[in-house]
Parts: sequence; C-alpha cells; structure tokens
Amino acid sequence: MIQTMPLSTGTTGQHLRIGAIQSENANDMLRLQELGFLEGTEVQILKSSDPMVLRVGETRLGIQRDLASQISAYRLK
Amino acid sequence: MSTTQLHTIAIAGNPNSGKTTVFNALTGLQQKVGNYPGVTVEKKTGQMTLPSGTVEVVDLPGLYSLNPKSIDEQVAFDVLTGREKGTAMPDGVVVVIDASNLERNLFLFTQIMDLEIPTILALNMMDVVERRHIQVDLDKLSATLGVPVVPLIAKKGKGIEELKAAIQHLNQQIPPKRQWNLHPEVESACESLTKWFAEHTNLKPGACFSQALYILTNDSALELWGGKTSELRERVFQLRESLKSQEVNWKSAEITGRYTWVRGICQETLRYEVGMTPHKSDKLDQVLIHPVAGPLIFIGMMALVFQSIYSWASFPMDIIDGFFGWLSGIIHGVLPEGVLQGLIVDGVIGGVGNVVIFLPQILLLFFFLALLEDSGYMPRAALMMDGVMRKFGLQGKAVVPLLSSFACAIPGIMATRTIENQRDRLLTILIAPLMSCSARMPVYVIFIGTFIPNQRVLGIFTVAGLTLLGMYLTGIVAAILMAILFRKWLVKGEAPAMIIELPSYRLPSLKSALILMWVQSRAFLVNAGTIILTLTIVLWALATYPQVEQYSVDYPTQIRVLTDQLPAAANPDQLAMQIQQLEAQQAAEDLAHSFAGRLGKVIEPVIEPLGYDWKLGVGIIAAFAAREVMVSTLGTIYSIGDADEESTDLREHLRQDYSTLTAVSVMVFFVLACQCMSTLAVVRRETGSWKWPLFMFGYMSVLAYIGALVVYQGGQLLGWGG
Repeated sequence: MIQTMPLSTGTTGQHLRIGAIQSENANDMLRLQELGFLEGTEVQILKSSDPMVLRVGETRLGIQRDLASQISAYRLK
Repeated sequence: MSTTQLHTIAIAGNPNSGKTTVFNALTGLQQKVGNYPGVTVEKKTGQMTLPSGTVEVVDLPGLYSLNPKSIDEQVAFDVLTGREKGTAMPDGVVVVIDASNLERNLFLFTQIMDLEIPTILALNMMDVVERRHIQVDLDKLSATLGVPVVPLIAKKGKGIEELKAAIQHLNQQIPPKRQWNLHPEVESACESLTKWFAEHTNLKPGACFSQALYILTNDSALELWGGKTSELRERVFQLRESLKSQEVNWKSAEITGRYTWVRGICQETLRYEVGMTPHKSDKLDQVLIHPVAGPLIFIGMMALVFQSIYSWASFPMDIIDGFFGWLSGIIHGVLPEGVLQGLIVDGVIGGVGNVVIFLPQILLLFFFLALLEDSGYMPRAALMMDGVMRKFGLQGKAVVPLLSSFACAIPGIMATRTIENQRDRLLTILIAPLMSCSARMPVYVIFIGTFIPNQRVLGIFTVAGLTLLGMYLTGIVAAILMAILFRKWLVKGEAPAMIIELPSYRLPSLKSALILMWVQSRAFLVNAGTIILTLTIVLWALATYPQVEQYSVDYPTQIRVLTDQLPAAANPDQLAMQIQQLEAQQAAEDLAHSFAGRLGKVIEPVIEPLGYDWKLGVGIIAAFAAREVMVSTLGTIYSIGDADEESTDLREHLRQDYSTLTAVSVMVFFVLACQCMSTLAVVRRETGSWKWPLFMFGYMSVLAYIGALVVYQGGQLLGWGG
C-alpha cells in the first residue's frame, strides 16, 4: 500500500512521484500537465515555501502552495 | 512536391527557448511591433532576406501549448491555421527548442506537427547541452520527427546560416504528419468531431483534427469554437459522457499521448554521459530567491532601475528640452510674430518635444528590462512578489511595470508586455498611471513649497516632506483599491494560479537589449508620437483662439514704442522689465480670452466645490497636455513671463489667491487624474482601441474629482478652511 500525501507537505530536497491531480480549475490542471506534470512523473522539491519551487525533468517550476495542495504525491522507494 | 513561393514563415517556441534571439538573428533591425487586432497580444513581425527574395517572419508569442486556454495560445493557433485576420497564413514554421530541455519543448512541437505545415526544428542552446555532457543524436531525431533539425547556439550566431538555408527549402518540404497515438476510444471520438470541422470550415485536415481534439479535451477551447453552435456542444458533451462511462480519462488523453511519444524519442536520442548534473542556477537561486536575501536584492535592483529612470534620464532630457527651446528661439527670430509662429513653436515643436522628451526614460527602462528578462531573473522576481501582489488581485509580474511607473507611466505601461495573461495585463495598465510619476513633481513642489511649512516633525522629518510622501501614498492606496474593485467588477475572475518556469540563468546579450530598445522606442515614436503631436496642436489652438481683437490696453503699440526707445535709453534694464511686464499682461489677456480660458470659466461652478477658481481650471485643462504645463500656465495667467516651480513671483500670487486647503485639494487632484495625453496615447497603442484609454481617463477624472472634493469639503467641515 502506497502512502499518498499532498505535494504541498513535502520538504525541501525530497524526491516524490506525482499521483492524481485534482485541481478544481481545469485550465490550471491542463497547464501543469503540459509542463510535464503527469501522473507517475518524478519531481524534486527545491524549495518548500510559498510559492514552492519544484524540479520536473529539466524544468524548474514555481507554483503556488494552494495548487500544490491539490496534487497528491508519494515517496519514491 | 510543391514549388510555391515562400512568403511568410512563423517562429514558435516555449518562453525562454531563445526564440527571440533566433528571431533577432534572422531579421536584425527589420522588425515591427504592434498588436493583433482587438487584443493586447503583441504582434512582432520582421523581414528576412534570402537569395530567393524577402520573407516575412512572424514571431509568435512564447507558448508551452497551442491548446487554447489564453488569448496568446488562441492567437498563435489562429495565425498558424491562417485564421488570424491581417496575418498571412505562414508557408512554414520554425519551432525553436531548448535542447537542454528537449522533452518538455518537444510537446509544443507535436502540436504544431499535427497541423501539417512544413516545419523546421531549430535545436537551440547546444552549448548548454554540451556543458552538461548530453549527447543528442541529431540524425535519429530528424528521421523520427520527419523534419529537418538544425542545431543552434543562437546567442553566438552559430547555426544561423544553416537555419536560413533550411528555411529556403521549406516550401519543398513534405509536411510532417501526426505520429503520436491517442487512446483508441478518444481517437474515434475525435474522428467524428474532425469530420464536423472539415464539413463546416475551410480549415486544412490537420487543423480540423487539432480543433476537434482541443474542444473535446478543453472547456476553454469548446467555449471558443463550439460555444455558438449548440449542435457541436451537444455532440462534445455526448462524446465526453460516453468516454466517461467507459472509464476513459479524456481530460488528460491529449497530454498523456503526446508525452508518451516524446519520452520514447528522448530515450532513443539523448544520452547522458555523466547522468543528470545539478544546475548552477539552483545554487544561485539559494541566494537570489532566498526568503530574506531574495526580496532585498530585488528591491536593491529596482532601486537602481528606478534611480536611473528618475535621475540619469534627466540629463539627456534636459538636453532635449534645451534643444527644442533653442529651436523655438530660432524660429521666433526667423518667423514674424503671429499665428504661424505660434503654430510652429507651441504646436509642432512643442508637440514633437513632448514626444521625444520621453525617449531617454523609455530607452533606459527597456535596457534594464531586457537584462532582467534575458538573464532569467524576471520570473524569479515575479515568483517572490506574487504573494503580495495577489492580495490585490494582481500577479507577481506586475511589480516591475508598476514600480517603473513611479518614474513615468509611459515606459511602465509598455513594460506590461511581460505579463502574458491579458486580463492581468489590462488591470496593471489601468492602475499604472496612479503611481506618482516624475511629471507630477513640479506641481507638488510649487504647491508644497508655497503652502506647506517646512517645520520639523519628530526630528528628522518636515511637514513638507511628509506631505510629499502623503501624495505618493495616496496614489498607491488608490491603485490598490482600484485594482481590487476592477478585479471584482471589470476584469472578473481570479488571477490564474501561479505556475511559472524558472529558466536557467544566462548571461544577457547586449545585442538583444539594443534591438529591443530600438524596436520599442521606434514604435513609441511612430504610434504614440503622432497622437501626442496632434493633441498638442489641438491644445495649442484651444489656448490661442479666438484671438483678442481689442485689448484693454494697446499692448502691441506700447511694446513697439518702448522697444524703439530701447537702444537709446538711459535705463535699458528698467525699460526691458516694462516690456516684459506688458508682454506678460498681453499673454494673460490672450489666454483668458481663448477657448481654454473660457472653458476655465465655464467649468468654474463645477470645480468650485473643490476650492478652485477659473484660473486653476485653465491650469488643469492645459495640464492635460502634460502635468508640468500646469506651472507655466499659471505663470501666464498671473502675467509672470516664464514661470517655473521655483518662481517666487508665482508663489506670491498663489498665496494671495488660495488657501492651504485648496493647495492640498489641487495636489490630490493631480495624484489621481490622468492628465497626460502621452499616457492615453500609449494605452491606445497597447490595448489596440480607444475604449480603454477613454475608460482610464474617465475613471481617473471621477476619482480625482471625488478625492479633491473630499479633501476640500472635509477640510472645511473640520475648520481648516482658512
């Protein structure tokens, strides 16, 4: 059983895998996915403050904490 | 194989892919900036010379996707499919890709590929790829994608010749075709919609498929293209419903499909020789976006920018001012006194001067903006300021334009081009002129200097200084309130959630900065300049006509008599003074008699509740040309030749006529009113219609009136009237 958590609760330096994205705003969700934020993608948290800074592939993204809390993630084993 | 002539090509690419550098390298100074009709999306075009002839190059806005969720994306799609009015359908596309971030950049490429237009993949930033020890198999990439691949280091000009050669052969290319796969159920749903577009529009097959896919997966696209046809809407909802019942995730189908294909390609064509290396940018970011150090560095940088626009620009501005003054002097000497002289000196030269005077500030601001943008710092600034700005319904990127507006709203409004979201951009433009610009300073100086005591408060402050601070704060508070208000009722909806890419830091290029300065200042001179010139001439005419037929004293004769006596006079200084006085009195009578003067008297009952008389009314009307004109106009009314804000004569007159309360009321009016036709001309240019400049003028006038009214009437109620 994999333990999921909101992405916003991750700590700086942590590597996580993206689970479901449940943004109530469809456009925000699409925009995130277009930038490579897909289910199963590995991300690293570079800065856990608000806004958060994440690494997705070779992309560094700043996203609002609100938005990050709508994304579920789980720890990489 | 087609042999059609190559007329137009488009350049597309992600933000920060070096797209603009490629565009600059291809077109040089042959660039034009404007707007797509009816929207605030910047339209950048240029010309490129090939052996076969001249080719028009359209630089599309920086995009991550074509699936329309914003006006930028919609415009880009419309340009590429030939639907954008006034832009020729491109014969081919150059997709600029950041090779060091191939996967994400190829996403957009797959969307363009679907459109079946001849395409070249320009693989930029090959130097970064090399530094990170990544091997790219160019041949395999080209073979898999089915398009020519040209490696580039655009900043150093490397590969540009090869790119040009490839562009020359674009029209002989067999266009690429879609290769990625959709979920089979989504694919068949898409097919039926594609048929609808093929039957009901004259779009090419590729474009029909793209549109079908976008309306199926994205509500914004459905709103845009299917909103009017209920039949199409119904069908989309049915298809979605049926997909949902089969437990197919139609929302993510497009993106998943594309990324699956792209990731496969990346795995086959990229080889990391030493694995993923940490970026130097991450280290820099530990300082530059540090919670404490970051904002401090940002404020320091903005102070530098602000200082340079505010004070470094004043030297060239003085020279420009001096030059036009000198020119007027010469014309004065050459042309006979009269209407023609007035038209040329006060209308034309004054008007051109009003335009050119802003150039130093615009050039400086765009120089700094180019450095901030090019280095990759701007998104970080936006990131740090986003939280604060969001409280007022604005976004982080608004902070630089708004701060710049303290120097001058004109470059500030031009700087809003960095805000991609159109509603946010409009909102920022609407409140930018509430920041107290440097042109308000002379008005503040004369009224504060005349009426506000220089008494010390709390040791280090003075009442005068605090009053000045108060004026700046009044503007800021008004801007915040208006932003909240507009967000609620005008530019509705919340600012979109912040998702911002932090590109790697790069050394900014001086060439890009110079090109940006050249293109932007030329656009300002041509577009805003003509409007400003016209309005200056109109205002001159208002202040000149109708001319006085019978003066109360026969000034012309008296002046002539005195002037004739001058060479032989025993006391030439005294005589010269007398002449000056007569001239000033004549000017005062002229002004009082003119339309502007009469208008001042007509509006007197309206402005009386603010504590103003007709003279201040005339000053306010004249200040519409430019705020600082208020001071010289008051000088004319009071018959004091050439008055400036330091003039003691003028201060004496003001003190006799007005109370301190009126002075404060005048200053508050100047804080809030949009008395700057150059600003309105620039807003007209940036928003593409007169609707927004007129709205801006209207709301700010109402705000100014209410503000001044509250100050004056409130002050009187409190017994500060004396």
